Amino acid sequence: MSSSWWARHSSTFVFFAIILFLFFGPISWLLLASINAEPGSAWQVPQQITLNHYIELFQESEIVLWLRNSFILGIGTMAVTIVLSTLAAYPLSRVPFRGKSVLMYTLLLARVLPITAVIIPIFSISVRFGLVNRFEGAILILSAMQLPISLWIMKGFVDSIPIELEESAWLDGCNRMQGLIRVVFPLMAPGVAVTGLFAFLAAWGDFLIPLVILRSPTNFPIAMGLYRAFGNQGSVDFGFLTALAVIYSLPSIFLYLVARQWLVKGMTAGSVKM
Amino acid sequence: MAAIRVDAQAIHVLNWTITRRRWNELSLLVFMLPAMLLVLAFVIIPAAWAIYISFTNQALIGPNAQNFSFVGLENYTRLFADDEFWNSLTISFIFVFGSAFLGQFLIGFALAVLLKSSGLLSRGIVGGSVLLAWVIPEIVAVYIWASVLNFQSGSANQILLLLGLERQRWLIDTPLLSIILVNIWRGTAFTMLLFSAALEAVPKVLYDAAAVDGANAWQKFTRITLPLIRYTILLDFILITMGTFSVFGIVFAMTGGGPLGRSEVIGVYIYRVAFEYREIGFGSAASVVMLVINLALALVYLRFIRVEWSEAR
Amino acid sequence: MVRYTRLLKLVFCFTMITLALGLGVVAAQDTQTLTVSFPGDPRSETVNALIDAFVEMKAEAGVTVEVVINEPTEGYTDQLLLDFSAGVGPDVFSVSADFLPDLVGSEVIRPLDELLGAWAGWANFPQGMQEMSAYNDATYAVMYNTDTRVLFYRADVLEQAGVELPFEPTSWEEIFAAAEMIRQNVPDVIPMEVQAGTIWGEGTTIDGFFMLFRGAGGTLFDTSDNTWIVESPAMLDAFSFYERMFGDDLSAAEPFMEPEPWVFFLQEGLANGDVGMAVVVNVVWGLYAPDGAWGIENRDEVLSWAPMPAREPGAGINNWDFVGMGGGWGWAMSSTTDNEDLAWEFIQFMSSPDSIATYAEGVGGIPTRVDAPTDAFNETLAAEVLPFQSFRPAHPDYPRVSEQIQIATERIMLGEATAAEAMTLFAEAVEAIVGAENVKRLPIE
Repeated sequence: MSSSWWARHSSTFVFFAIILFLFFGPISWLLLASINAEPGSAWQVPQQITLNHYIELFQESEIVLWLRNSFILGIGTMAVTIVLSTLAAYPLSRVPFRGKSVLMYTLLLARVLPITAVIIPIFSISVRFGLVNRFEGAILILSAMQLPISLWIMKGFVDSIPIELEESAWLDGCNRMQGLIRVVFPLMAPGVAVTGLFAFLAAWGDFLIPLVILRSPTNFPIAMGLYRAFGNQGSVDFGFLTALAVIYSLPSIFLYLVARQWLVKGMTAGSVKM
Repeated sequence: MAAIRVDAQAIHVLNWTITRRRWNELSLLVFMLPAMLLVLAFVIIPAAWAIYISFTNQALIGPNAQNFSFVGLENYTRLFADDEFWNSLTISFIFVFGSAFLGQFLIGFALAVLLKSSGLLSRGIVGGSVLLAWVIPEIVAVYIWASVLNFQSGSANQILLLLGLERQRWLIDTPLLSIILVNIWRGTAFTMLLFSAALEAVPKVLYDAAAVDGANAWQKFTRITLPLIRYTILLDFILITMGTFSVFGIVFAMTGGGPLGRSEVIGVYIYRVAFEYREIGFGSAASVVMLVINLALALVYLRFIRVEWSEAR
Repeated sequence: MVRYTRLLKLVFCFTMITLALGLGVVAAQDTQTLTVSFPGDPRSETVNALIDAFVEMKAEAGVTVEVVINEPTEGYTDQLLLDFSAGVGPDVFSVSADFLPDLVGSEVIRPLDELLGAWAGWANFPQGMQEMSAYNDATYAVMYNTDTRVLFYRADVLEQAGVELPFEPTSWEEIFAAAEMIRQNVPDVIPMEVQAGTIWGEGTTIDGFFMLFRGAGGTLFDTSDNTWIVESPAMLDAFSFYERMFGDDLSAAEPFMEPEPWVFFLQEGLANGDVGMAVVVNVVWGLYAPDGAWGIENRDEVLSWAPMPAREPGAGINNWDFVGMGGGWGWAMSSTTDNEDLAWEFIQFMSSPDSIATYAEGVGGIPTRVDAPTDAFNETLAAEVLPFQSFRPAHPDYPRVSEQIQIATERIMLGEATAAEAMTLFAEAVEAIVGAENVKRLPIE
């Protein structure tokens, strides 16, 4: 490695170092505090490392229940979003009909409203349909909120699949439906990965919809469990808080790692063609 | 005569097949139904309801909750006379400009470009930590930053003290800057991902050809990369603008909009009006204004895209 | 194929019959459902245990009661409002006293007067507690917990500063003098904290502002002519207290501006000895017990308290020498409940001396009944502070006026307005909210 190589790349490395510091630095507090025997709000290297916060979490809290509930929400929303957007993407992409672009932009814009502006009608509608205090209700709402972006991604993805592939299948005697199932669906895997990841992340991280719809403590997701860390008059159990936050973050990270290999492909198709 | 009849029959048959094919095609639209119904119920109707309610005096509870009445443009005239509304609109614009354009876009774009030509190690570590900030749940992000910006013992001030500087009152003196930083931290990964994907799609052949012509890295970037990914740039603008405009949770939890409204983005303003003051009609009017602003921005972006498209053809 | 269809039919019929029978049996069992809302953690465990006891009691009487509990840990008020707005309000709910007028104006809460009149237990609630849940000549809730505010101080810090112990101030001047001594002699400690700013919400108004305002003899809402007194000598005194406290570096603004999860520096500061003295709700006393949330090993040696004095002896409201501000929580019934008898039984059960004592023991605060057993600390409070207790105005506009108070203190805290300027801005803001005809200004000499 010559010195000129360093000279050329040093600015990049400085940039990377700053980014790493700024992005990972804050997260390191969480990790360190969760294994610190005496955790606090300050960043500190633990004098004494312990796993007790994690152990206590599983022994003394309802974390298993919270995790179960969160998985029901996350996986349910992911499944509903994937199935519905995959189904809808094909006609949205292939069938010309009047007002399609208006429909697509309406979808995008309707999601712009902050949740505070629409939570009241959303709640009223849920009450009318008897969805309150039911996982189905929360899953449907979370899916609906995720669908606009999912439809955009998936439509873009089908757009990128050449119609010729399907036509050759039709020539082989497939009808449209068979062509769809045999040719298009397999090619949509990357789009499904992106859509699914986005849906899971949104449902897993959401706080307001479960709070409003899933009211009984037995239905609470893990986000609500975090509030257990705050005692009467605001005492904070930092060990509990940070350990729970780490566990709360793990499934999202795991799913991202799983979906990562398809992600680039999925986003390319969705983005390059508007 | 006979020939004409045959033609007519042929046309009839042809018409019939076209209709049938069209009919077949249209029947595919059935697949859209479930998604559309769901979106209708929980996205479109609530949005339409918000627009309708913005012309009424509906309250969250109280006599005006059930028996509200149509008040025309009253909410809007009140809104445009409300200094706090203009304040929150200004704050929102600064917030969007600072965190979406200067932050997420520039940093995310730079990262995507630089990481593309870097080794696996930096991709994994640098890209990974940026992604981590995006993947973790919002409430965890709030706790993390509450710790970092804590006045007494937060790590931001720990570092300042190490450097021999004074403690900074992050959330008192620079609340808007603080929430912009947090939002950049949180959202940069999305832009980075989007551009990584777009850059991946640029054919290598083009760079090789440019290299033969003696182009340097900067020329390659401006002549090949930029033109090819401009749609992605516009898409990213649309998505992050809209996403940032509707940010509520992080700001609400970090500063509550304060002190004295100095970080009150429009989402927080709407919450305050609709829930704390119980004036849903008035709050909805604010949401509708926000919707219109986003629509206008989207139309501007789309105009750009259309121009680009016609150029490209 | 035919046989298969027949089998299906049989299965179907069988299922329907079983379902019908099952429903019939369930109906015959006379299950009653009651929906209950209360703010969850950290009250969850205590209240749930009480609810279980209620269900058990009813079961012994041969009635199966199913209680549907709604206990949001966050945003309780918002959720209650959402429920009522969607027409699915709970049968029974816990309500903060200052929120009552708003609910009354919204016609979602049921007056309890005729039920209370026939209830022997009601006589055991002192008049103050009965009035706390009354608005417009009707009573809407049975208070189950109340609180007050006092001046807590770190005896070790004051001693180090050279303040004579026990510290029993009889005027604001004495407090300022002690704070000044701490500032000079114990430099690392924040001498005093009186809550200010919007982040603390209602805490600023009741724990901070009113404890000063009442001490200067102030009245915020004049019930004789239904007007808000937006400018008065007492208000200027209260704001001037803040101005002096922050201006003379006797307090620090930063702890009041921490983001949500860490706003409780003040209480924590008292626990660690980082704060010399502070006006805090009495509930914290239990948390400082050695086994409490912020256990102080030698609490009784290092932590002490005194009643908050008026500006000077006799300057307080009603010419009192000391000040206490009371808030509280009560059980209320929604006006739409279709299970009134059960709801009332539930409220009675939750308001029994035992239930009220159990709650105070598990969560903190002061029992609201004279016949509910309590601890020594509460008994001292009852003797020394509760006689000087006053309450916030009961008015639907109160929450918004209160927010303006918080904003005014925030301006002073940040050094962006003097006490007089903050009061002028406050008066203008309240005037805009309630209308010019509903405010009045008292002359300031």
